[in-house]
Formats: sequence, C-alpha cells, structure tokens
Amino acid sequence: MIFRKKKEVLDSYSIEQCVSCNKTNKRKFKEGDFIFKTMEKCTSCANGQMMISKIFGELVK
Amino acid sequence: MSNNCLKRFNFLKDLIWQKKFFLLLDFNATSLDKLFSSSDNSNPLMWMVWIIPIFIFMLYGQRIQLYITSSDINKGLEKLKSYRDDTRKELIDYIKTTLKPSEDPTSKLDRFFEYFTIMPSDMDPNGIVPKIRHIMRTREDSTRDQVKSLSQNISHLEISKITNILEAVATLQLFYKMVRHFFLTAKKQNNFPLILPLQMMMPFIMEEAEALKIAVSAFKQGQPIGDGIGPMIVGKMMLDTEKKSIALETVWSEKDFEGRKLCFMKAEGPAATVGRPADALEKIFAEKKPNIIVMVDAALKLEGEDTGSIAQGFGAAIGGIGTERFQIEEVATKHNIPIYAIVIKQSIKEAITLMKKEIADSSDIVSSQIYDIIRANTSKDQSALVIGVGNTIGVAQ
Repeated sequence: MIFRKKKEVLDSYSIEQCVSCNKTNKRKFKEGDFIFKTMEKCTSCANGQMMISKIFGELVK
Repeated sequence: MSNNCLKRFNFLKDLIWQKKFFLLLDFNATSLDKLFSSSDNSNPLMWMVWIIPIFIFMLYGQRIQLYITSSDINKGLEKLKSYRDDTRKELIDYIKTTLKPSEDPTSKLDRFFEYFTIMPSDMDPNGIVPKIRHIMRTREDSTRDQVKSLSQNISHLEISKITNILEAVATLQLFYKMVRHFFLTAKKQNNFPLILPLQMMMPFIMEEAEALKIAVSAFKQGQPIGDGIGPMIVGKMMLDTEKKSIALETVWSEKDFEGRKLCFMKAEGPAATVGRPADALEKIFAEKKPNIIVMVDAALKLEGEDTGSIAQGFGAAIGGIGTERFQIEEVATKHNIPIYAIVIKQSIKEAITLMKKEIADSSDIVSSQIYDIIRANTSKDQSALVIGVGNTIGVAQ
C-alpha cells in the first residue's frame, strides 16, 4: 500500500554526565535508571560524580 | 397428445426459438476495442456491460460500500481486541511477578477495567468545574487505594506505575467496546450512515490505541515519556536546591537568579504522576506572590511540524480535562499575573511512549529560553514561578 506506515522500533539509552568535568557516557538503558540518578564517581576527573542526564529512545535503523 | 407431451413440445419450441435469436446476435464482432468505444452502440453485449453495473450500483451500491467499510473496521476491531488482551495480560503478569500477591488479582483487575465516570450535569454549567474536579479526584484516589490494596509491601513508585498501566488498559477496553458497539449496530440495522463517522475516526482511534499499547512497556520499566519533558527541564533547574512537598505528589523549591527569586514546581519523580500543580500554585501564591508564571509542557504537534520543535506563547500550558487549567487561570487573573508558556511539540504517540532523542535534546534550549523570559519580564528583586507540567515518570529532581 502507498500509505503503509513504517513500524518504528526505539532502542533506549541512558546518558551519564559528570557534574564536574561534563564528560558524557552513552550506554543502553538499564531497569532502575531514571533521570538525575546519581551514579558512581567519574573515572576521568576522579572527583566528580556521574549523573544520568538524559534517557531517550533512538530509532533502530 | 397428452397434456404433458404438449407442454414438453412447447418448451422445446421455446428453446429452439431462443437459440435462433441468440445466434442472430452478432457476437463475432465483439472485440475489446469495439466494446468500449463510444461510437458503436449496436452491440447488445456492450449495452449490457454498461447498463447492468449501473443498476447493480444503483440498487446495491450502499450495501457494497457497507461491506467494504465493514471489513476495514472489522480488521481495526480485531487489532483493538488484541491490544486490549495483550496489555491486560502484561499488567496481570507484571503484578504477579513484582508484587507477588497472596491471591490471584485477575478478577479484581477485571473489575477495575470496567470502571466508568459519570460527568456532572451541565444543564446549568455554573459551578461545574469544582464538581468535575471532585469526581475526577474521587476516581484517582479510589484507583490508587485499590492498587495499594493489591499488596501490603507495595512502594509509591509501583503504585503510580500500576495505576498508569491500569488507566491505559481501561482506555483500550473503552475504545474496543465503543467501536464494537457502533460497528455491530450499523451492521444489525444495515445503517451505512452510522458506519461513516466510525470509518473516519478509526485512524485516530488506532493511533491512540497503538500508542497506549507501546506506553505500557515504558511504564513497566519506569522510562521517561515524551510528556515528561516539562518536568525534566524544571527538574534540572531544581538540582542542588531543597525540595519541599507542597501538594499531593508535587514538590517545589527556591533559587536566586540574577537578583530575582525563582520558585520551581513539578510533580514528584521518578514516580508516574502529574501531581496537583493547581493546588500547589495556590499555596505558593499565598506565600511568595510571584510576578510572573512560566509553564513548560509538551504539546501536540500539527502534521508536518518537527518533533522536539519549541514554541513560545501565552496562557496556561497544561492538558488534562481542564480543571487544573481553570484553577491556574483563576489565580492568575485574580492577581493580574501574566502566564508565559513554552511548549515542546510531539505527536500523541511520542507523548506517551519512551522520550525520543529529539525531544530530550530540546531541554537545554528551553532552559535558556525560560531564563530569557524571566530576564525580559521581571526586574531585580521580583520573583517568578516556573512550572514543569507533565507526567514525571523516570524523572527525578
């Protein structure tokens, strides 16, 4: 059919960001994640805390 | 000659005559080009080819259309039924695995799906808003209590998730029943005009039904949805401030900004709730008397608009049945306070399913626009109230 819609499939990701050095890390969403959840210490600057800044879905190509 | 023989002879004579007449017709000249050419009217077959369908469509056109439309609606109805059954099963399984209730919750849940709400009489619309608010809150409170009663050790987050999934299944149940009702009535009465509005509405109903079906998975996993962009933006502004509870499932905090006092308010995340922003606004107003209100919410985009595009405007940006908006407008009008709105555009499906990247990426731009509005419309020593409107599932503060 001409107007048949493509089925959209989203993959969920969480973005972790260091509150000190702003280093970001994109990874797959894990159950229990929520936005502004505090994670472990930043491995890059060692004194900043990682925090989930975004959770979103990206289209699977 | 007997009577029977005579009848037989007459019948044979008729057959012979019909055969001769048939042979006289010029079927040999029939070709497709001739058949459909407008100049040749002599061919009786051509005459039949045109006239018979006209009569068929004159007499049975509506019925043929009814059959075609019915089959389309029937396919949609089957899909709606499968959506309802799948989401119902998902909810029951989710409750059984996460809450581990002592008794089977199926019969209790089936009763919830059939809940209905009778809107107050609008013969005299004066004072109808508090009545609607009362009825809706009774429903919300009752559903929450019923979900709470499913298990003794149920957390606030789980209650909110299950309540939202329950609402999704109940809505799908309502869609299925309403479509089935109109479809069966139209078929029973052979009533084509009755099926036409249903055919027109079906794509919209199916779009919302598909969105509700997908939404269940996001609610189960506690993922933020498109509608949560408002709470996400305001939640970020509230980080490193002291959060205080102000109304049911609603929090607020204060911060200084370039000599101005800012108050932030949103539903309490990461639970799946929209809070009670209007009640909270009344309380903050009594205490802080802000000079402007800025509301941030998701808004339905028009076809052709980009997901995640931002628009600014005026007025209370809040959806729902309208009681919250009414209450906010009342307070703002009474105190002559301007309301500024920023909306992030998305479709109905995007609003209730996992937040898309385009929507999440708009958050930083919206934050800077909020500060711009505050700078432009307040002077130093004045104050502003920023409200993040929407379902705050998966978004803390």
